[in-house]
Amino acid sequence: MPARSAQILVAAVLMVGLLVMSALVATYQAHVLFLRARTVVARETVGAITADFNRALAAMLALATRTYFNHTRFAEFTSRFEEFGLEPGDLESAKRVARSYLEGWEAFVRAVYAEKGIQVEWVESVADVSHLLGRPAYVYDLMLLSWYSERAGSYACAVLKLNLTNAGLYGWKVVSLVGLTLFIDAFFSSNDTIRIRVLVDNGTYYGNLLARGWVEVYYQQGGQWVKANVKDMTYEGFGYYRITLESQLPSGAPYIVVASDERGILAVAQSVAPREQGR
Amino acid sequence: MALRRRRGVTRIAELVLATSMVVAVVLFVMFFTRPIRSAYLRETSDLRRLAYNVLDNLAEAGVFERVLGSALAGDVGWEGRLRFLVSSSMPPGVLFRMEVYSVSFDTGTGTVAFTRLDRGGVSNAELSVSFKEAESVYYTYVCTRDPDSMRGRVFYFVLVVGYAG
Repeated sequence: MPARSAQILVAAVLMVGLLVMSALVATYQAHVLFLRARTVVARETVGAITADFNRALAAMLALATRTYFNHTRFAEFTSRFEEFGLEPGDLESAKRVARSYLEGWEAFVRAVYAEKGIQVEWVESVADVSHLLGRPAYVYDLMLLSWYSERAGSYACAVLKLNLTNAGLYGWKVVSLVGLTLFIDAFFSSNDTIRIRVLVDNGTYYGNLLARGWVEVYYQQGGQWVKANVKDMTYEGFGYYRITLESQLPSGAPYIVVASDERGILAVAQSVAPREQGR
Repeated sequence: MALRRRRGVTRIAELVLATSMVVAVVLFVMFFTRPIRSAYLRETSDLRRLAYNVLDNLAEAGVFERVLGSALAGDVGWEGRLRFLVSSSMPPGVLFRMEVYSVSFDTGTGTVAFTRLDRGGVSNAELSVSFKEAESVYYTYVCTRDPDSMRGRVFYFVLVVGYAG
């Protein structure tokens, strides 16, 4: 009799073990399925929010560069932000407006994605842009406008932090650097041609200047900036553009190149037309 | 007595063998059978990806600035244009309904106001048509493209895509 009860005991233990193991496997599989199903949602939502944060940052950098360069000319855009405290041509007020705007954007995203349990926060950050400008330069205090030299750039940098509690995503953090870099690469006085290079954000070649952006050249004459007529412009690849002017630039005169990308971010580079004999 | 013991050992061995077989069969069945509602999950995730792709493509092309710029200017035909653009980006047989909101936020108080711009016309499905399998995505959009009058404006889209029921 004791031998039989031992057998029953062993059989019972085995059966219980089998049931527990089956339950564990089933739970594990359900969990994996659940994670797989919701990860996709989190990934796409995070992608959409991050892209929109980049757009918001770019819009504010465009506002700052446009008011700083010529508030009146871009009044359709800049004047709308005067009621929020934007002072024409003042970079500091543009930064204040940008901070308020990004706070508002944050509240907007929180309202839209509330059902996903979103926790969103943006913070200012420091970005090293020395490799873009060829000299020590850092973006801090939200924006950097480094203009009026042969290597110029406009940048804004911030960090986006994100939790989507209902989708099981915690601690997402991305550094967003938006900007436009403009080099005056060479001036060919023989045919009044300027070669420039345009990069966006963290050094991506910009190839849409002709189709979606624009470029202007001004030279100094009699203490005033005069707009030069552009005869032709060609893209040479890797962000290089060749601008041929209709008129000759005065020898030794300072000139500026103003470029805008499709997001409205401006950069202004400055150089001097070379002095040449026989001109 | 010795025979009884031997029988007991044999039964245990049989039990272990039987248990192993049952476990193997259960694992085999669990591994190869389709998870519950897998078709539903697969199809809606495809729809969700499609919806995000369509919205991303339209954003990249600067469509929203142009179409919604005319909407804010009072043009009544903007819904038809947006319907055409979204419709041409969708594969055949996929239905969609889109809601468009203009967003304004008070930077001082942090309050957000949504104003619906469309009148239900950004859709390729009649109101009576119900969607069999559908997915809705939310998309926030800050305008950055030309014209200058649109830069910095904020919109919110709800795009529902699905199959006819």
